Amino acid sequence: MKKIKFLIRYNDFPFGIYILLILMVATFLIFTKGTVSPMHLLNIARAASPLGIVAIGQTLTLLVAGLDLSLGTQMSLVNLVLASMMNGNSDKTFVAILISLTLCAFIGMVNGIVITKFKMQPFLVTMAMSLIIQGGYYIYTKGIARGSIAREIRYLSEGWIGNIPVALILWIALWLICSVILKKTVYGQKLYMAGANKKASDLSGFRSDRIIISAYVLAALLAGIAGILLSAYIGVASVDIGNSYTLDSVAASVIGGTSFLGGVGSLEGTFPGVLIITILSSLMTIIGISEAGKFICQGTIIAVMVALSQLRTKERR
Amino acid sequence: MKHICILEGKNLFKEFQGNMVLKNASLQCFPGEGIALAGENGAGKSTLMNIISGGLKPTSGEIFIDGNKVILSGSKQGKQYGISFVHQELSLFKEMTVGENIMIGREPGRKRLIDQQKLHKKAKELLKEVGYEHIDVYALVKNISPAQKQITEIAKAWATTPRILIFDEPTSSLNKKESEILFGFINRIKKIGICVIVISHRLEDIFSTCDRVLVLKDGEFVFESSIDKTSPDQIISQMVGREFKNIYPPKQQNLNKEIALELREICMENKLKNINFKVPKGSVIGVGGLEGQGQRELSRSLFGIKPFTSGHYLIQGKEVQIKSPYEAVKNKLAFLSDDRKAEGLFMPLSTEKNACSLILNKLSHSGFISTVRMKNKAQKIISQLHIKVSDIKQPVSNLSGGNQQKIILSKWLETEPDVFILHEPTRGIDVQSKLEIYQLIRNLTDKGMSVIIFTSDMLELIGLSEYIYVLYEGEISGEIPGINATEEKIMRLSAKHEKDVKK
Repeated sequence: MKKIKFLIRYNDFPFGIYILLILMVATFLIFTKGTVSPMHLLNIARAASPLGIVAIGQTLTLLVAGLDLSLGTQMSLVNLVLASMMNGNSDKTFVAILISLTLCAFIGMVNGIVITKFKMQPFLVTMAMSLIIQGGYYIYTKGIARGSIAREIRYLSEGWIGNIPVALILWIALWLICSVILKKTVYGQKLYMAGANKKASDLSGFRSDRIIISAYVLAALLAGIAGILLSAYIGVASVDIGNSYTLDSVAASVIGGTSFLGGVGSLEGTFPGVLIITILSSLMTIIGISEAGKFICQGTIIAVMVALSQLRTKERR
Repeated sequence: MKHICILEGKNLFKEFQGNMVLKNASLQCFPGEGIALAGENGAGKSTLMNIISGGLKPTSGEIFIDGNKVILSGSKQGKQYGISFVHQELSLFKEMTVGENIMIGREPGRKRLIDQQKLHKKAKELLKEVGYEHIDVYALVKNISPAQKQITEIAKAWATTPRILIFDEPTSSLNKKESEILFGFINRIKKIGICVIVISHRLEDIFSTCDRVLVLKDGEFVFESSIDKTSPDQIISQMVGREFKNIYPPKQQNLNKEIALELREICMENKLKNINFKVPKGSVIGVGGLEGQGQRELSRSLFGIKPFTSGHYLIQGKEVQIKSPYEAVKNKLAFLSDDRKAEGLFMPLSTEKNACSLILNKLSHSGFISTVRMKNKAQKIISQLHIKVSDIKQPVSNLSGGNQQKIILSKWLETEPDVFILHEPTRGIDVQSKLEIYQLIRNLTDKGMSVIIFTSDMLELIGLSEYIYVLYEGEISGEIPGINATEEKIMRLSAKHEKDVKK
């Protein structure tokens, strides 16, 4: 018994959030009175994929004691680049994707370099970056985004392999890869250490600045992939389509137990965090709660989850 | 001088968590008198001063002001009785002007509006009284020098029109000329009947300003004399005269000829001046001195945190450039910071990960860390160093100070360093862990590792080191082989009372 207690107490695995997820799914099933097929649930998961992928990136920045408020606008940017370059044609698919991801990687690198080398607040740096991207976006589009996504790309969001949506497969694959990197590789562990205590990490002879910059680059790349998936879902260029993903990705990470102080949290928590946000939103649509009610519920859940994870972190700091 | 005494403390005791830091101290302060309070770090000087100025409550004992018994609660009340304390650590508001800081709490003006002009004029007058009228009262505190900050602090205390003015290390950031101005001020205010108490490591301060000297040791007064009947030597020997306990493992008899690390003519801005320094292989080299004489700068620049600005740095006889901890680690150096919470540990992470943090590469196979090997390694470390932990997954923040320190030591030892730089390795940890760490250091040097230890604990310095360097104002004021070292000799070098006591 004592052993089990230790196992739970000192384990990094976020049990609480999975219990919440199960409760959420159960509530969902009760409210829909069994009219929901597994297919419906898979569809919800499919729609959650862009958020799922960008939330992986957001968790990385939070783990290095940072934050990236420009991830959502980066998704919008990718949407614009893809749609305007392809314009419904598949010839330039590869180039468009390459350019989008390069742009994201560059933005992430600038974020990371400014934050580490000039010792500036991640909140302010990435907020400024977000505003700059948005400004550029408006100059280019003059407020009206034009263009559409090549049909072949739409397979990413509409295709199914057997009974599983392609988008979900992509999400889970990225999630697994990133989890393994974080948990099992030397790089991943150094990332945790740089976030837990940057000074100690520096004094350990680690090049913490590089690690932190790499986290921002990875986050931006994941936002780029999420942007591609979102574009495949929407099919056309749409103004500011990705912007709401910024705060949703922060919420998903935080609900999943990732701390704002850095070094605490895991992708095992972010995954159910994303599902909880998405299921909650579908549930409220189904029972007919207004948009305003949705915000209130979401806000409440975030506040409660943050309070709970604070209790957990308190013991550790 | 035979007036009624302004303040009298009778049989004062103070206990901190079962630790008696002040035992039966009694003190009388007469008008116009200069009292010097001397003693080593941790002797109880600051505690006593905090008690008589109201900052701390005594565990038992009585305080009389003008012959009436009072109970002081809070330094504000102390100020009402005319007792003002100039602290060593400065407590100024950085974003406010010098004038505003001096006049804080007594701003002139009508209702709640502050008359800035009047305020700064008054502040200027106060500074003039203290003797430093050249300081700009309109300058922001964050832009002025440490010396000017210290003077601002003094003027701030003077603004409260005290009857007793207490100085804690008043000259620590003043140069010779500035110190002399301060001595002049102190002697002036003594003439108008103000009692001055000076806590200082610098005997010069004491002899220039005081009439009576009291020596505290381990919380007790051991010596009292009028200043003209004593000498610096006598004060020093009273401060240190303490027995050695047999807690240090035996030292090596001869220093190795092979030099592991050497510094030649090292300088760093105005913090370090012409440091020459040799660390033989397999020995413990101690660096001592009063606090803040450049130990922090030297230890940190050895490890590349803030590199030296000039000079030669040699490892195993070869000149190296160590500009970052990354390069230091590559050159097989290890560093233990004096602030283990802020700089040593990854607080939220597990004991296991902290212990293995520097050898992740060794524990991994083609980039992937082996969980089993990490667990085994951590368990081995914990049993070898007797680290008390309920589970290796327990967050390191839950461990006691001594166990945390052992975790940091062990994580570095796993990298098999050639030279280990230790900064205050036993500060704030229990005696048992202390002894274990001393033994560990000796075991390691027997195996050929070299250790540089920076410590303010004199006994530790003498007990562990084969060779001792003493720092004073960023310079090496003397060096002594460990066998010949005594507390008295080191104290003398630390206070630079006699410049060359080399033999």
